Amino acid sequence: MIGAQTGRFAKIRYRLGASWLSLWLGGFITLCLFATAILSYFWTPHSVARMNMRARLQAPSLDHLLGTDHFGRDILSLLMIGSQSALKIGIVAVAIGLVLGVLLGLAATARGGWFEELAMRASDLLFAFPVVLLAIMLAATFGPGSVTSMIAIGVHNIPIFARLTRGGAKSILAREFVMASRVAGRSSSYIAALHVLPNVLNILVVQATISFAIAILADAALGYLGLGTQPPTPTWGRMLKDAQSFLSQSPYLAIFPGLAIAFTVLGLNLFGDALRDLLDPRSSQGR
Amino acid sequence: MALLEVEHLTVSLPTSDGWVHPVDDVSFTVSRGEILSIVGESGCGKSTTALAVMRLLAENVRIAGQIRLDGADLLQLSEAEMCALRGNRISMIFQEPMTALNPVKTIGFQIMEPLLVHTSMSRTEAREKAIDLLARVGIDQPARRINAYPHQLSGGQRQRIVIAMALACEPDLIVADEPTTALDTTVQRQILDLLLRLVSETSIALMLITHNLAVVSEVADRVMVMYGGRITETGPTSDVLAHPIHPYTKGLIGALPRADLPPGERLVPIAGVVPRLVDMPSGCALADRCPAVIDACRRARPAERMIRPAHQAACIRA
Amino acid sequence: MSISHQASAVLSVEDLSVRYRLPRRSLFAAPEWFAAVTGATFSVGKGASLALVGESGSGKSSLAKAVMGLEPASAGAIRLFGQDLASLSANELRELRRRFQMVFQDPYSSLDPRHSIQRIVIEPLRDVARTEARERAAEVLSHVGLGVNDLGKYPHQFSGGQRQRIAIARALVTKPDLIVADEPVSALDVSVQAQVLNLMQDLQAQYGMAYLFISHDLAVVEYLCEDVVVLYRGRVVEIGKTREVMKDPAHPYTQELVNAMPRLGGGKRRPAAKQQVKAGSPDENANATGACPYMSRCPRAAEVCRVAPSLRALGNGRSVACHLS
Repeated sequence: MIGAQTGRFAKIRYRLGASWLSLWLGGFITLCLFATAILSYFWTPHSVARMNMRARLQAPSLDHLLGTDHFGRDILSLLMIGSQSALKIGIVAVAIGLVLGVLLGLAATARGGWFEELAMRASDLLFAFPVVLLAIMLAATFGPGSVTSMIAIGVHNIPIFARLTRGGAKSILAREFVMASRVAGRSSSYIAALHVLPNVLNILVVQATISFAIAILADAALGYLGLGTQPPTPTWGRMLKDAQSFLSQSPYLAIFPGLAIAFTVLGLNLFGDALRDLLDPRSSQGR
Repeated sequence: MALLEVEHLTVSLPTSDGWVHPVDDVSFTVSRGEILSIVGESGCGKSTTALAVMRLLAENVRIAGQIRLDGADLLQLSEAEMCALRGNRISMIFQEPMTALNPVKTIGFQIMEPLLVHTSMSRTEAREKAIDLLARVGIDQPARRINAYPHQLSGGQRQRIVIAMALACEPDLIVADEPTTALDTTVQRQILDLLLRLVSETSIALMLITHNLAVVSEVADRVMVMYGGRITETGPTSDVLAHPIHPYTKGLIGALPRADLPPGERLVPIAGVVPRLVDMPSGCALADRCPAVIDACRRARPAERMIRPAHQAACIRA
Repeated sequence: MSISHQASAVLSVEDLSVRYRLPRRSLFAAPEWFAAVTGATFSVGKGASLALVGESGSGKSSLAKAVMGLEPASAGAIRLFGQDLASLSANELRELRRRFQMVFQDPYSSLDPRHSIQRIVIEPLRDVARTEARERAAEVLSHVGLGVNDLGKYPHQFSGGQRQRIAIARALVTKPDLIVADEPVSALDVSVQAQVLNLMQDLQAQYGMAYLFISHDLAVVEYLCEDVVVLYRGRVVEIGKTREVMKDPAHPYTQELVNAMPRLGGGKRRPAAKQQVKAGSPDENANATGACPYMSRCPRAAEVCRVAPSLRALGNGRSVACHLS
């Protein structure tokens, strides 16, 4: 089946076929993002803590590669530091939603009956609850900040993943291999973990990359209301918001954070797609 | 002249491994009032042949050869001209009656639709015709049932509705792709009887695609056996089934559980599996599975030869 | 049926009923039930092969699921190897599952596309060490005509017939005493169907397990099974030796079924006279009126049929549920 090619690397490459490029490109972008975030803890081209009103709203130059903002801070440095919170918010918010949502969805389908009804109605209720209101309540208790916004966005993600998991699981549970597993004497938790989850993983991976991007933007919106990550910590979302007032004078302000978000989402999406194909034995070609 | 003449029909499909040919140089005819059965296992090209005749294949598929209906080549027609023909002079019956019917429209609406599209009938005339058609396919109280929705009918009745739709414009040719496969045995018998009666009453030509040799035996005038996209044997049904020439036809008959099989007698399966289209042997398609294979079989593709009157087979060992 | 026969039976089903709750028409409507199986009684002896035959809606699949412990019985009993299925605890049932396995209809749906063949085949083996499980998997795969190097492959790499062999290997891996096969060949092509039928025969000769074979195809049933139970709308209408039932069906429904079988070499049928079928789906609640469920279709229906007949023995292991035969 693999012919002359041997080794793990060749096998993976063979299995991925056309999505080989996705894995490479997506992986590269994602890696860059993480590297940037780590680097920014130790070094940035300029300090972002100090304002420099003489150098405000500058166009890109050799000194400031991506220009400066309305406080005269270096955009590149801000973006680098912003990647820290982008990653944190994205990972934590998606993780909360993914883990709890998938557990809820799986439990609901595995148990069925009144439990399923209750769990899904509860998740509907959560979904109907505005994320801003949730953040206000959390902020009132814990104070505003990045943690508050992570939790609020994460909790809001739970019903999304729960619904998705349940929808996928329902169709998987109707397949005969699930019945075969029951006949083989396997428990519901075995079936949920080893039959249902692997088969719904692909849709979850795609949703996770989408939710990641939405989380970054949602944090920006919350920050705007004074509920999300607080200034002076720079975030991509707030940079985008701040840029609105200077859009005519200095479009760079909006373009670069926008590009940063777009590239991150693109990278994660490609990576997610490739991951999904890698996880699917059917994607290997031929016999 | 036969109603439908198919000559050197080849359907080519692009794949990552190059072009493959689900239908490979197939020629046959169907006359008015005749039931031709195309029989074979999954992947033999029988359904693709049917869809090619209807010109319902996907855009990226290449069709070569000629498909002549009353002398006019269907492959030369524009899509608009073909649309005017489909459901009008040629119509199709599908395997799954539930998916062939629109669940949110009454059966009356669905039978009237081809009439309103293809003829100049008024709604009242079309409605009367629809009631008449329902009666013809054996639905009782047709005037009342015309307002029913598909889910209110049983599987067999739904297939009758699909047949009524196919009959609506009094077509010359009906292509039926596994029309009874999804039905119970007792219902299958009724639907087959219905098709037989319709053909004998109206001189429609019927192309019946099926995998079931027993069904072929009871219904078809002529049978065409396909394997690997090619015709292996064609002839009068009784002759082909009683005196099969091609090893594949013999194999199919030997593999069939039959009521008249003596106790203790084993079925004789055909060894191996159907090759995938990309792995189709260059010689005889059956070469790797044939008990009578010789070297010459692998070298060149066998041509169809007349072995007995009207009975052809593509086997060099016949 | 004698007591001793029951004792040696691998499976005995006694007066079994299975019913499903229909979706409520409104929130406060009383729950409605659909009787899938009503009062079925039969048994499968050690190493025997019994077929359940009927058309869609006859309850044959519900019966199979109930036997497999996948659906609860609403009345009656299912005894497997002498033990009442309903009296077993979840753990006892799981333990007993080694002894009865199932093969499903659709080999494309019954194998998890994300599991390797090894993982699929050893699924029924719990509490078995990995190396031993692998050996067992290799052994059963060789019995169904596949090889050790197929263990690491995935279902999509196999054809329908090969997949069904894998499903049979999975059922075989615990060396069960009973295999319930739900239409195992109806999704397969004729040539492959013959391969699988012969394989099932050979395996039975080799291992001596019993088959409960569910099918709508009388020809297949006649080839594989010695005894047959004919079901109509959830009721057993006829039981007997397959050959005798096919040759001389006693129940009018069995007669209709046997006559409707398309036959090879019978010659082309003459176009029949026009039939009128009754529109609408058949009356699903014949059970409620207490009449014979076949009455509305029966050409011989009489006044006496307003009371549903019970199964009565005709001798020679033959029973029929009809007042008139």
